[in-house]
Amino acid sequence: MNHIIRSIILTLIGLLLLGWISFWFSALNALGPDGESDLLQWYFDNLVQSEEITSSGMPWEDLAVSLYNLLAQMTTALLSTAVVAALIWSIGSHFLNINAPGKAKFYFIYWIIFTGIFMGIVFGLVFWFTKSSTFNAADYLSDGGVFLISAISVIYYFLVYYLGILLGTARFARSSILFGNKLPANNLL
Amino acid sequence: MLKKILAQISIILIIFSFNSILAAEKCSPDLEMNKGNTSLNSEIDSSEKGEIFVFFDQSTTMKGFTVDQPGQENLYVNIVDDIQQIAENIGSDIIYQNFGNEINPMQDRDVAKVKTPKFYDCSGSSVACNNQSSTIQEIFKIAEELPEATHIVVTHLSLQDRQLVGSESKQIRNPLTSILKKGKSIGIIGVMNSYNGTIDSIPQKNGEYIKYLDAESRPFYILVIGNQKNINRIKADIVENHFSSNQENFKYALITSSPILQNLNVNKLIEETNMPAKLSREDEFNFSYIDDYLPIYRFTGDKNTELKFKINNDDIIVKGSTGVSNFSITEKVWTTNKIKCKDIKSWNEANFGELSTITQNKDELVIDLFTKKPLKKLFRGIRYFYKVDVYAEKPGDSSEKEFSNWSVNSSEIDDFTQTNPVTFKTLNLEKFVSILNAVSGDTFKKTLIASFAVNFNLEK
Repeated sequence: MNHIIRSIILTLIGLLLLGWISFWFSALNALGPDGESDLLQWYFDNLVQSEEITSSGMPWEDLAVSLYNLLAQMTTALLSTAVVAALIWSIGSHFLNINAPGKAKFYFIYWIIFTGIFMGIVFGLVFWFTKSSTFNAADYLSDGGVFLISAISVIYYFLVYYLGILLGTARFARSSILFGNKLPANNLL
Repeated sequence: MLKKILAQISIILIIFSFNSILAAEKCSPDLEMNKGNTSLNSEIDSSEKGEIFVFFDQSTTMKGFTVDQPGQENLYVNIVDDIQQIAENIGSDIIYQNFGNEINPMQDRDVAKVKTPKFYDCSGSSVACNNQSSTIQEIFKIAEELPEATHIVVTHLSLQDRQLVGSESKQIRNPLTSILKKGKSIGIIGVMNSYNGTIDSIPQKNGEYIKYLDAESRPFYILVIGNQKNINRIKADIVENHFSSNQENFKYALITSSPILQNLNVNKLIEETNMPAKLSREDEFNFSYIDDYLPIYRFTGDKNTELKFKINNDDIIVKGSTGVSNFSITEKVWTTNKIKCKDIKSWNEANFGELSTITQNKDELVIDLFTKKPLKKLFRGIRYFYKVDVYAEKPGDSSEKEFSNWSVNSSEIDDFTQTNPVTFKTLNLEKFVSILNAVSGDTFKKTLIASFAVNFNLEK
């Protein structure tokens, strides 16, 4: 049980290494746009159909409220998914049937499948937020903006998840994850 | 008693507060109503009787209309009779004149003779009787000088090339321009009639003129210059008396500087049904007028909502007129990110450019909304207020087409005559009508015919 608790703590530490950015970003978006902020301008320049928005006559700051809301909800959902996925794997790794040397490598395939499912969920969430009709603000996004959001989300949340499981996976099962066996044998890890 | 008073006060307060809420709503942007010319075709309402000038073409070739041709129906005599009768009915003073090379007043006793061949016989010298061309331009001058009168001209309307070019053409164009600018119209009634006589002054390719004797039918024309009411009355009487069952031998065109019947907004003729029936089933659909002028279709739609605004041609175009060949629209869009009217504080003017297209078919004028910028490209979560003004830009030329098969150009008439036609066409008729159309185009002013707005937001 102690091993599992230690795994959970290590997973959370791993998640926190990059995850704080997502948390901070979600909070920033939840607060809504500030007319002077660079972020508001960056969104306008890189994520949305700026010409269409300009021609609509609507002040961008007014329209941006719903986009901020969309991004806050999306990043929260993605971070939550990464946290849950990392915890599931880290806790689950303690229950893998590794009873002989070298057997952990056999579970690499399990990890790949699990990670694939996680990435699929990340993709699905990004699609749901940016391309489905659930959020009105999705209309504002340009194709380039959707691609940018998708690419950053996939890479970033993979890294958040990966760092979580890298630290949190049971020591005897580390060979089942990518570069897991490269971690130094340390009592703290 | 006290309860009753309290109840009444409560009701008044509720109504008052409800009205206040409604008054605070800003469901439309601040609009400047461009009502255009609201008194289109006001001349139609004129009911006063005026002077009527009736001109009978006395050129010798007209005689052929009075002589019966076996196997052919002769309407000329009856129609001349009708014209005299209609003139008496619609005018206070009737002045009859004949014209050929010159215009002369007619004695009352001569008027009855118009239906007989004798009227066209010439008893003067051979020079004086060289009465082959009709000085129709002189009649237009009289019409210009007496614009309040109605002028009826019965003629064969064959015009030589020289009458349609240069200074002689100006003698036709200038008075006609003046007439149309004064809001008057010109009706051309064409009747294919039996003919038994000599068609003279037919130009040949070698520059000579020949006569043609073998025609059994030929059109004559009644030009009516005046207000549309009288023109329509004369046309209606002739149709009713002679062409009620078959209009094969009848043609009509109305040349006017104002072929637009009315501005639909002035009489609140725009209804829910101008838009597709499906629209009224959209969420929160409402149809109402602002300022008793601008109709607004309010609804919550989706990106597939069909928006086609249709106007019946008969509602906007004067029947029998040349119609309108070119329509245009001006569009204006306002936006707000508040969907509910009660939340709207202000509207922002959008700059989308052209959004819709306008097309005209045989029966309808169709404004296809959001074809250039489809609804799919608009944003959900925004309320749009889209106002469209529909204008008539240019009069049509349907009358040219109407008369084209009764017309022959001077370059073709030689060959045409060689074919020994039984039905003879009118020289340069199409050119004459095209001059009338050109004059009407010059005097036409861009006219607002309808305005409407759609106020909507889009949902998924």
